[in-house]
Amino acid sequence: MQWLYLHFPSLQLDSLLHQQACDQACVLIDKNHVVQANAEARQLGIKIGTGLAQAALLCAQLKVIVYDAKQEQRLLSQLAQRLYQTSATLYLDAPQGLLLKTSDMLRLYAGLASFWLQLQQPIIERGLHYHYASAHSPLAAQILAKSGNDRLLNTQDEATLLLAHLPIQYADLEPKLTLQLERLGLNTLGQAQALPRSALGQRLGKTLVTYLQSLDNTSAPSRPSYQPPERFRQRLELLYEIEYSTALRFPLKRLLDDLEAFLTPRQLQAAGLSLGLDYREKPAEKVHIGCSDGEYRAESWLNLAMLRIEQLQLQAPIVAISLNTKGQTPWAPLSAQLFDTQGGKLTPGQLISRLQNKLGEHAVQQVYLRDDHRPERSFYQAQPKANYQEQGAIKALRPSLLLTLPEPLHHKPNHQWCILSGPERIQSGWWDNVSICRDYFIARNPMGQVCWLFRTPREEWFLHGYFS
Amino acid sequence: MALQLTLLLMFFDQLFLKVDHLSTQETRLPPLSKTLGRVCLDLNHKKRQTTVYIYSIYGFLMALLQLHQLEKERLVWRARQVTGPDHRRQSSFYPALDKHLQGGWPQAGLVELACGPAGIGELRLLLPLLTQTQSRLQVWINPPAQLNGQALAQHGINLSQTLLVRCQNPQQALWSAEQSLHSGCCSHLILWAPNLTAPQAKRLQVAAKNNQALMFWLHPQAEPSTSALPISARLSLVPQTTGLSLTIHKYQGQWPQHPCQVSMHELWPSLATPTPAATSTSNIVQLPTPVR
Repeated sequence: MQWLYLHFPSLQLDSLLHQQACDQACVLIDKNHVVQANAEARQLGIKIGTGLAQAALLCAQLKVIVYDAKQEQRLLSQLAQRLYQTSATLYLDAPQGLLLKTSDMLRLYAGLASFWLQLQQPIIERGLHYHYASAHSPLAAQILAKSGNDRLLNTQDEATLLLAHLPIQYADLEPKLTLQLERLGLNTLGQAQALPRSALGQRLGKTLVTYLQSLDNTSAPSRPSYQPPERFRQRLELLYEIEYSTALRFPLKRLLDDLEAFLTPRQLQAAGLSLGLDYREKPAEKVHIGCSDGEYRAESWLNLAMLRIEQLQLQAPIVAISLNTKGQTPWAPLSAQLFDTQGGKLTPGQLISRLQNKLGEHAVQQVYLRDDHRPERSFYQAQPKANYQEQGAIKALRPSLLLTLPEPLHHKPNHQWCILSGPERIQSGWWDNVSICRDYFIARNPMGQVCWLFRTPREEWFLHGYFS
Repeated sequence: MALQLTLLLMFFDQLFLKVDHLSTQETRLPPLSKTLGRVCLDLNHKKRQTTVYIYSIYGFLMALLQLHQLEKERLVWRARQVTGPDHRRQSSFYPALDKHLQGGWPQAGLVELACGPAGIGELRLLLPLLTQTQSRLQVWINPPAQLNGQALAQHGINLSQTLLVRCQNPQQALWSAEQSLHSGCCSHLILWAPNLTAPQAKRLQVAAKNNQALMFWLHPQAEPSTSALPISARLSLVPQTTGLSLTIHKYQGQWPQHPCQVSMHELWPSLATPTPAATSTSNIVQLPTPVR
């Protein structure tokens, strides 16, 4: 059997309810009609196609969610992304179906049964309801799956036999055509297949003939097969609104697990994540979570993300979160010393990322030197870079602590000050309009501090630093 | 006390089997303080049951063993045995201070330096140490002014291994310090913070000890904190024309001593005047005949 079709009748609802504990009757509505309902709702008598008013009458505490075709499409491609690890050829059949070519994979998995076991696992993990069927042609598999066949057939004959007995309502034809066939007394698909095609075509139109032909057409659909995306991008709708930032942990964990599952087989790591928070009534916010060394494990990312999230002030309740990667690079394992007894738990890069996520990016700095004689400009503090450029230092003695702004001294240093060295004239910077002309002295004040003072040409005295 | 216990042991020698039984049952040794406490208690109340004595004898023997182990690790020391430098210390590269501290700074732990106003030479005290050991990161948290890269580079500090952290509030500074120590990639950490409570100091001390890091806590008070903090050392610095005068209030493994004069003239000739001791008669050998 070449083709396997998977049908997810309540994809959006199942994904919403999964891992978000809910024992309430829930329905998805589209144009005032129920399109998906959970088990609790079905128990109360709510069926697919029931009007909203009737459903509300059946259950007063009904949770009503609006059906979103786009979201369902997104969920389907997320699922395809996961199943792509098991099956090489996949076709999306929006909004709720996936078509898999099994013939390529049977040699790898040694039989349809074990292949199916592998496929089932991620679907069950996601808590999805599903129907499936295998058949010789894509259309046959689709019809059998949608009719709830749920069997793996071994031969084409079994499939044709099942199809022949399939009631015409399940044949997935246009309602008008179905009605016409029923009026002709053709109640099963087999009866229609038995009639001469040309006569059928003349009476009921070309659509039916093409349909019957494609039932036996074993070739692949003409549309392109599924190609997994290059970058990770995922969105999670929340069943309940989140009002406290720490409650984001659990939904975020789900997204990060998916991220790990995305990155690991590709041998990639992400240097940063962009977490999108969709507020109920405010514009969405983007939060950047950085990791300078690059990381792919969900647990490490979660720790970093929580440091960042704890700082957040939510502007409004969150209804959905999304996650994108920023900068995917090939995974490079960090080498560690085998005999280093002091081997740390973190690398410097990881420590820096952790501090940056908690304190903000500008709180963690390194000191860089610059070729300039003006003390304020001879060095600068900036964020740590991956490769540090060494530069030679000035030979003259400089204070280890430098005040950001020189402090004016109200009194000229008197006899209680002890001048240790000086003056050292620094006159520079005429080319960029920040020219200085200062005579620097090193002096010890009565408190014992060794200060770096300067005198301007106008005989004003300033304190500029300490030889700490 | 030991004699009394030995006598007791002889008296109850028919019960040795029971002692053996106890020792096989005990999988984890009771904490030292607890067993010692039990021994003392039982000595005071001699009329207790024999089994209690047995337990206390066993406990005392175990405690002796533990004591020996702790002594080997230099966690417990005898006052009469404090002699000679300890090789498990890192040199401060000031010979006078090394001699005074019997080998230098502790290998790991938290050291409190009460320096008073900034700029009296507190970093000059640490710079020689920092330049020598740069295999791991050196983290500076909340310095009172900008760290001048030129000055640090002049003294041979590897700026690529230097990390500067600026925190908005003291809580964040302590968090950063603890995280840096726990990361295991930080060898020295210098924190400027006004005060630490005993639990905070303990956490930092444990983090530093477990990760082989030495942390200096600098604060602007002239006197060290009065409360007995569970840290490795507490020193206060007083500026001198020759350098610094260090008062050691607490130093794990040795007695408090008279203040120590650290001369900075050799390393910073223009910032400190030479020690008068160097020119005084004590170091000068009088030759019998004048040499020209």
